[in-house]
Amino acid sequence: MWFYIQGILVLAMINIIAVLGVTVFTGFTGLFSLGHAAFIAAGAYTAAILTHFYGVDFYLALALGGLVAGLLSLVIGIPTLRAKLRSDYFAIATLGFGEAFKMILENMDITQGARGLPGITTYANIWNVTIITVLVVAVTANFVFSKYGRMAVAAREDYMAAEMMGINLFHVQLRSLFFSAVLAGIAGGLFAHYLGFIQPSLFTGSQSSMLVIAVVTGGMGSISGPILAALLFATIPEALRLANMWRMVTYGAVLVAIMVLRPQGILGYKEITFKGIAGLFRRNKPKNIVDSKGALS
Amino acid sequence: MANILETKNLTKFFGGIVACNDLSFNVEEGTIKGLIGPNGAGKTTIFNLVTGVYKPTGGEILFQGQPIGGRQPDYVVKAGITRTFQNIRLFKNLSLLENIVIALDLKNTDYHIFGALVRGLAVRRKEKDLRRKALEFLDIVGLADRPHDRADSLPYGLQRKLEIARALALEPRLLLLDEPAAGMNPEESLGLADLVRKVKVQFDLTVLLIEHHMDVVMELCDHIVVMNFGEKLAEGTPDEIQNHPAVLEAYLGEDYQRA
Repeated sequence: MWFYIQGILVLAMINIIAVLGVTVFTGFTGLFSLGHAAFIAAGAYTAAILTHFYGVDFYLALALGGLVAGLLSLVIGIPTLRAKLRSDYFAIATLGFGEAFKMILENMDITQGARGLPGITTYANIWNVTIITVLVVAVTANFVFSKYGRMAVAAREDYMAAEMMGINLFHVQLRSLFFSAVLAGIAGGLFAHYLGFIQPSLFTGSQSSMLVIAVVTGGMGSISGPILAALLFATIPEALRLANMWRMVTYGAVLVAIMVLRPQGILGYKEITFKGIAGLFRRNKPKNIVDSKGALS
Repeated sequence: MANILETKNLTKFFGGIVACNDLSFNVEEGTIKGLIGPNGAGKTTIFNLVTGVYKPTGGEILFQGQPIGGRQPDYVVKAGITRTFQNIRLFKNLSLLENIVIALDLKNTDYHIFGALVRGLAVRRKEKDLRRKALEFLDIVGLADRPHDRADSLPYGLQRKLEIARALALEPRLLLLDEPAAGMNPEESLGLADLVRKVKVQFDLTVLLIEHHMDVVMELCDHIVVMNFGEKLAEGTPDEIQNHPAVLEAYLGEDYQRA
């Protein structure tokens, strides 16, 4: 039983890492991607190939997987974002990119095509995945609650006003895409080294959609919301296993219910604040501000 | 004094429509210049051309002697021009304070991305400092008592003031105000005129202003450019403009009386 729960937890945390990437890109920068599975795949294959064929250290391979995913995001990001694609146009471009990348994986030698890569050493376990997840949450929160996150939020809120704040939209959007792709790549690397086997059909468009769904139902402009949603989405289908054929139906119904009852998502523009993680956007409560006001006037 | 902004034969076509035709005018440093004209005369187009939202079809725009026509908006803002919008473009889901902090980032926030990711001591200190500074800007427009309200919870007139505060936080040399008194009653619009005059002195600014409230324009402006159908109809001091026959005919009409 512990092993079973452990498995769900590990996959949930890996999912959280990928969802956090999409949170930055969609929830905070306001662009929709339907191709993030490609970045997960890039990270998974890079890391797996490095440890499997070249005997590279697991953590180094993980980092390189993230880097390759990040660089891959520039391939799609530079031409589309420079052309100022937004909303549905950008989403469609990423959709095409995701499918194309899957085809490439299916036809390369090193990836062993559609047969996939079996026998990857399972370096990932509940401990190192937990530590990495905590680190990723902290770094993401730091990113979002810094000048860089603010610039992204400005671009999401009103791109024209953002430009009038001296913000270069192309740079900001590309930075968010890169950041989110790196997280997706790390998630992919962990995934490959937990499952021990990967193949291109694991990284489909529906996986990309699931990430976006987690962000939207969790709440745009929130970090804790999508984390909560990612956890729910990992556990609900397991809890519903008893319901058999009704499992996915119920799951779909839950999604519809969330969107109808809370269109802004579970925690839209709000945070569950943990001391030390979530920061300045919502903390710094009036108390000390009233103090400094006295000094001003 | 020197001209801070010059346009030379500035022209903009949208397909076959002439939004701005062969327009030349100067804005002298340290003055308030008014840009008036009937709806659709091309006033906001001028702002969009100056701030890089549109690329000019022809002609030149010089800011402090440097050509800026056709540059990207972020370049123009960094050079020292900021604006407000006719249809108010605040960051609606954010608080008043956050709206200002985003503007302050341009000239005040210098930490590096890696510093931001680990959120070191310097970053924390800077963030605190930014919030204190943002409050000062809110105080200037009289909004310091509610820094954590959402921007879109403000009434219309205060949203305009917040937008002005946000523009000021960018530390501009030239401030473009697009109908700052729109939707205000006469009393409020005169209050706004006072605010504009106050910040102009406090921040040593030059102001270019589009406005339909004639009492505000005549009260505030040192010089006025009148536009009609994308062209310059007249230019001069408020007194000259009020007695200019072409202006009276085309824009102010026979019934105009000074408020």
